[in-house]
Amino acid sequence: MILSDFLVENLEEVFASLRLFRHRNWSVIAITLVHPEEERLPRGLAFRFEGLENEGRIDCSPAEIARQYAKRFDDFAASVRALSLASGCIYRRVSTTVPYLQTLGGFLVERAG
Amino acid sequence: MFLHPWAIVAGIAALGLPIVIHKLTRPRPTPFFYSTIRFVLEVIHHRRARSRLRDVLILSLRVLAIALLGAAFARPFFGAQQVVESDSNCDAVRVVIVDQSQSMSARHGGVELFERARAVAADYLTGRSGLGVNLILAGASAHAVFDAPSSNVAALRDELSRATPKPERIDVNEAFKTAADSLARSSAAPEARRELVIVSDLQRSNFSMADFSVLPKDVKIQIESVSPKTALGNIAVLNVGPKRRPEMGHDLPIEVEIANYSPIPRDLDVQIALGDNVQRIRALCGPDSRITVSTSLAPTSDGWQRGEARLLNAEDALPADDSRPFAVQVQRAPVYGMVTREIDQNNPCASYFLDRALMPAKERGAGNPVRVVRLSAEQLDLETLGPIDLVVVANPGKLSEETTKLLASLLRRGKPIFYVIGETVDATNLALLADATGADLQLPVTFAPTLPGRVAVNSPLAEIRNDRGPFRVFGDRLAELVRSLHIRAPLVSQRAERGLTDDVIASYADGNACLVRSRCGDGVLTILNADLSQSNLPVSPGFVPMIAEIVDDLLQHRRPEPAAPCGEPFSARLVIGSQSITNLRVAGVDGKTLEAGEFVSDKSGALWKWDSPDRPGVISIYGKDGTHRTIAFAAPAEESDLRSLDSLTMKDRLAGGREIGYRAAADKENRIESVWVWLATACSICVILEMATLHLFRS
Repeated sequence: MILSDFLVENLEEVFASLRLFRHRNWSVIAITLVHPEEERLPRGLAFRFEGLENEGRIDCSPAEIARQYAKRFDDFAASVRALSLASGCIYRRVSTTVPYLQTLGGFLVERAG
Repeated sequence: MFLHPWAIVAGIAALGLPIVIHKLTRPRPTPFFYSTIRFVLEVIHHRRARSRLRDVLILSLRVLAIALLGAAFARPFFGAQQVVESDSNCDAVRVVIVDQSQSMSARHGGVELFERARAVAADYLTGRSGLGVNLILAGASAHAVFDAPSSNVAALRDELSRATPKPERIDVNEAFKTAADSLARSSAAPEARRELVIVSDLQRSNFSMADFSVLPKDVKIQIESVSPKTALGNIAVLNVGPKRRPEMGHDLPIEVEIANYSPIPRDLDVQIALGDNVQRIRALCGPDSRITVSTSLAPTSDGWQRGEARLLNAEDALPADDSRPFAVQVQRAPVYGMVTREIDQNNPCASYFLDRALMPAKERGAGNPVRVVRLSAEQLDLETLGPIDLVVVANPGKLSEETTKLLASLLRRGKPIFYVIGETVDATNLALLADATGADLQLPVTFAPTLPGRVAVNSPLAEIRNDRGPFRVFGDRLAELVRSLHIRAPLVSQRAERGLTDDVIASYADGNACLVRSRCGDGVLTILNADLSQSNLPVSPGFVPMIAEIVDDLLQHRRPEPAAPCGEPFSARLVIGSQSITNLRVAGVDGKTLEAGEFVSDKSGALWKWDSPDRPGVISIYGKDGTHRTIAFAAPAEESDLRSLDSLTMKDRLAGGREIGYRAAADKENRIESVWVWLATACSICVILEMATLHLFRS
């Protein structure tokens, strides 16, 4: 089971590695963690976005790019799902606003059948 | 050029406003930590080009809108170059010439052109440190207020406020010369700018001969035209006068020349008055053309009469030229003085034939005045010749020097002389007469007796000028008449160095002159080289008409002159006999004495001079014995054509390579109005485009 936001440089490399596990008949579960603030830009006139992983900073007005950002993020999420399913993984998208026990419990119930 | 240059400075300062406002109103960004700004960077990168384009467009449109708004407030105008600025600050000497000619009293839009000129000229008569100004009011003569430019602007403005148009033309070159003299007398520093401003309607008839070369090369010239764009329509009486010598008892034909300086035909209602006798004529004058109308009026009394031609329905730009006065002297039938030593009963002799030709038999009789007075050469003096209208000289014998001088003097003063050559002594008489007249008489030929031993023979007429002179009346019958004539010429003639060939009206086949006509001062001398007693001319049917034509021509020469032009020096010689000039006075139509001109005595008699006639109308000169002369004055006819010279002609053809500023009042009114409107409209379009751009990039 891999829990990640999958915000990596090269998704292909990641899923190539996961396919190795699948080749050995491992069951791979890919859980995408999504924070609401990653999904949609915050509302406001102007923000200085600072990356937590030394990506630098940038000033912008969220209103001008909100729509394009949301589409871009949704496209990313869709590509992660598509790669997961294509690699034979079990894919789940989980929001960080939902308690993890709730998410886990639901997943186990689903697996149990 | 801008009406409000300060708006340009304000506009330039305002150009930075959009940028400053953008900087000041941009919100301060709130720091926000993000797990990854990868997507933000991708989106912004993707939008960068579009954002930049939008920002450039918006900023450009805002800056342009502000620039256009500033330019609209500045009220620019183009095309009117100004070499002299009325409000410049540099040290300068300035002369302002204001046109005072009659055409400046024309009205456009209810305003006299001179009033426009007054306002324009006043702008240049400004008082400030370092500026000396002078004002020249220009008509037929140029009047400078001061000898040299001065700082006494108040006096110049006062003089300008009292100036009015005059019934004169403008002597442009005289005005330029006066301006050059005024500038030369300036006491300003040599490096001070020298300026000349000309405020005028630039009438073509006056300014086409303008010569700027009398002005120093370093003078900056500014021309301010007060004419409208299209020439003002005007109709005018150009000339009026009788067609023939006015005589009591005969209808007097009067001609009136009228011009229509407008693009539409005009119905004319012309009133012609001579004394109390008035007639009206209706006529149609085509566009931009002239017509001559005529009528006949019977003089009701003899002596000097006043007359006038007037357009009754003119309604044009220049009413001053809708009437023109004239003066005529209605005389009795002419009296001829026959200077001869022949006795009347002699037949045939020259004086006999001439006597009968001058006063035909039907006019002789009881009760009719004798109009041919026989005089001997010794009897001639001022008193005997005073009442004579035409002097006929036929076989007078040898004339004394005193008599010759008397005849020369009378000839110069306008008394016509008809000299019929009959004997060899006439050659001497004519030579003495030519000497006595001096350069005033230039005969085309000199006469001399036939060479000794040679007999004068009858010679047919060969060269005849039938376009003028007495032969014109014969028309097609002239050739037949000439063939029948056998005329003996007593004298031979030789071409003189001076004199006009055109003055020889007819010549014989042997080359000798037959009929000669030459002007001498105010008079005319006609010489007939024909021995009437030895020729068949007197008995031919053409003799009496020919003599009548010669006499008529000589008397017509004294036909009343047209109205003298106002503003131009005028003089008239007076025949006052023995009375003193102190007895003479000048009076107007109402009989009141006028202060006009002066009387002087010289060796030829009395003279009345008026240096600058300043009023149109009719004046009379009175002596103890009644009216000596009546004279009409009017504005020059060329002032009625209100067409102006265009800027191209003034600046290129006449300027002679100088830099000349030209500004027209008409351009000033029209062009400014349109430019600022277009600028404001463009500003509005920029604002609309900005809003459209914002909307387009948002969607």
